[in-house]
Amino acid sequence: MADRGKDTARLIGFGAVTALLYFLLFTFEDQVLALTSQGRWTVFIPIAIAFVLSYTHGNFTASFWDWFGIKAKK
Amino acid sequence: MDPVSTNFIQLDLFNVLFLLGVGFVGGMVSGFIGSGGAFVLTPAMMSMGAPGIVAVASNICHKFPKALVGAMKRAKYGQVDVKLGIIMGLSAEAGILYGAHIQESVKRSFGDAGSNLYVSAAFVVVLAIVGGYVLWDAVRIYRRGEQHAEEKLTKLARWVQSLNIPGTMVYFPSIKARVSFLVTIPMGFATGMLAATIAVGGFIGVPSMMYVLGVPSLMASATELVIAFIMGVGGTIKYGWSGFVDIRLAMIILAGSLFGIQLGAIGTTYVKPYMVKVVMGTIMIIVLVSRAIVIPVYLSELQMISPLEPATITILKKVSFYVMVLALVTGAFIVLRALIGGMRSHRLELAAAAAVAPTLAAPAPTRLSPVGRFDKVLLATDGSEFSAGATRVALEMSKKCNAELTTMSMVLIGADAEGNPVEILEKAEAEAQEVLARVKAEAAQRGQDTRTELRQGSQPYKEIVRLADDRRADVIVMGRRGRRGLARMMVGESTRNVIGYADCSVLVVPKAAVVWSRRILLAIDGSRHSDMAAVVASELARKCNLPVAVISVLRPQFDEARRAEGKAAVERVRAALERDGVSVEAAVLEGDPAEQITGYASGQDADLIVLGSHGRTGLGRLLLGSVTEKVIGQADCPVMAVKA
Repeated sequence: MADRGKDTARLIGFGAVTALLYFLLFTFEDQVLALTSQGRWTVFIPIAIAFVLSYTHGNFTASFWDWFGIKAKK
Repeated sequence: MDPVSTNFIQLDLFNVLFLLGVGFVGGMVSGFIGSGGAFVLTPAMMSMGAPGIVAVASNICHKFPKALVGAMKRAKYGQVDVKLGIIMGLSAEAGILYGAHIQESVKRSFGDAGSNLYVSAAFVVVLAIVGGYVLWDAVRIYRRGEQHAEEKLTKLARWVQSLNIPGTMVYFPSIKARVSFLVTIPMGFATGMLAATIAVGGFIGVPSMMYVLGVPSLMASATELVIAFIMGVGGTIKYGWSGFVDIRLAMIILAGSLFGIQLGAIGTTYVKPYMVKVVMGTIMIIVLVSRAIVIPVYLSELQMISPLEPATITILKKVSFYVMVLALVTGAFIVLRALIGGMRSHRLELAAAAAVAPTLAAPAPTRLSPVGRFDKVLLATDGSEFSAGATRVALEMSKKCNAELTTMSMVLIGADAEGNPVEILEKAEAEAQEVLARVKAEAAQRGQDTRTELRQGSQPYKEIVRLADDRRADVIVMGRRGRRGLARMMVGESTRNVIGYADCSVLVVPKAAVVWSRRILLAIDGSRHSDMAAVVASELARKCNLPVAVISVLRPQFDEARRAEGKAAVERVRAALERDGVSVEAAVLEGDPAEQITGYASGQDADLIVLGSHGRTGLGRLLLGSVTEKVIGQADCPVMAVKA
């Protein structure tokens, strides 16, 4: 039961952070696009966004399937 | 007009949902076969109004984080050869640059239609040859009933592995062999060229790893994710430098594809390896049809055939696009079906194993058994860097277990000493005394004490085993290898012999390892040695308040009875450990036992591996079990070989 609680907390935690990051990205989409469309060193902005979201959303999606019992064969 | 409005489209709900859906399906295929999920996305984004170059850039920008998540997930299952992925990934970068250069030259000389014809022709030729072979191989395996058999090396792979070009040889764990990087570089280069041409380098990368190098299918598809990550980062920098990445599009696709890639990766743990070939071959052949359909359009535009009606062109392009979508959906359908079927039969197997579990004997009660008792610890050290980990762990372990610690070192008497015995012996003795003094001082710093013993002999293992007997040691702690015979073998001769001859358990500690604090991995094979190992794992888990992961590894060639036995053993040990109040997770893996054990340990963050050792007598006693030896040789954490 304790594990289930931990799994749920993890799912909600990563889900909330991911949702917040997506919300921020689309709230400020014009500013972000204006910045990244300049090219050159601003290329590292989309790369950084991709890395951060791959971490939070990657953990969220892993927890998501885990929570529904879809786990790797062990 | 500002660049934002020029290059980046307005997104509506339908477009967002469509991209999420395609991302999900593409992610699932990528998670399973390592690539191939992205080729629909570029035309899909273009159909929404995104300029071609923005569609390509945004597609690439979603690919590298997706590949990263997929690679990390599959690395947990021990399926990734990181070294091979990096070497091929770097050469693929060069291939991309050259491929893009050719594309530009074709476009300059023959215009858009010429470029499209070139891409479609490349699709058809590569997919017909490679896809045809992959699918033929999958069908052949199925017809021969070899789905459960170990994958066979092709003649080409055998030849490649037999090549020896001095100065270029690299060891790749996925094939457990050294191969010249002069072979892998062209493979990576071709992967990159194909990626630059048709956006799916994996259609060359995965088959070349399987058939040219002899990498098992599941490992090849997982390693491709590393290559895709490297190519993706390079591609994003290339396009992003000119400001073409639409991060919104990329992140919407990523949102869907990460759900998919997790599912695809999980799917690989339920299927037979040949399924990778089935999915990959099927997708490649359907994509081939899709591209072949539009070739007349480009031939007509280049006036190489009589012109087609505009309506015909539109129909052919639409049909081609939908056939491409069909390829992706078919691939995803096979993956999903295999996953659901695999999970269902796995559940039935576990239920069957659990049903027989109560009738089997549980490991002996912990407290009454001398096995699992750690009251007396013997540390064997030669003071070299290879003993540093053993010293650290022995001190920490004896403190945790409140055990009596004895530290021993050796003065070797051998052929070397014959020339000037007194002088050499005195020097060796002084060095050994210094080693012991250092350990004693380190123990004192931690508020501990250690008894020290200096022994003389020609064969260290004999002295270590003898002292362990004298002191009635419960465990011998030593390095993976000693100062002598360093790089000649992964596990030193003394260590191997001590495990073979000692009556007590032996804890082998790599030089950089520290004492366990996260998880204990118990690897069992259903034998009585395994039961003893379970007792030790249980004792240590309770002392250190750590969870235990119990695993058993089934070799692909095992018959059903042997498989059921392995699964039942895992359930039996899990039940016993749970009765001891230990937090347990259990797993039955398939593949090479040593690889699976060490892969699982690193994937699940286990920092102690416990396994049973047969401790054979007579001639066989000299033979440390090959799995135990390999695990000790490959593991990054301490390995406890428990003697029954």
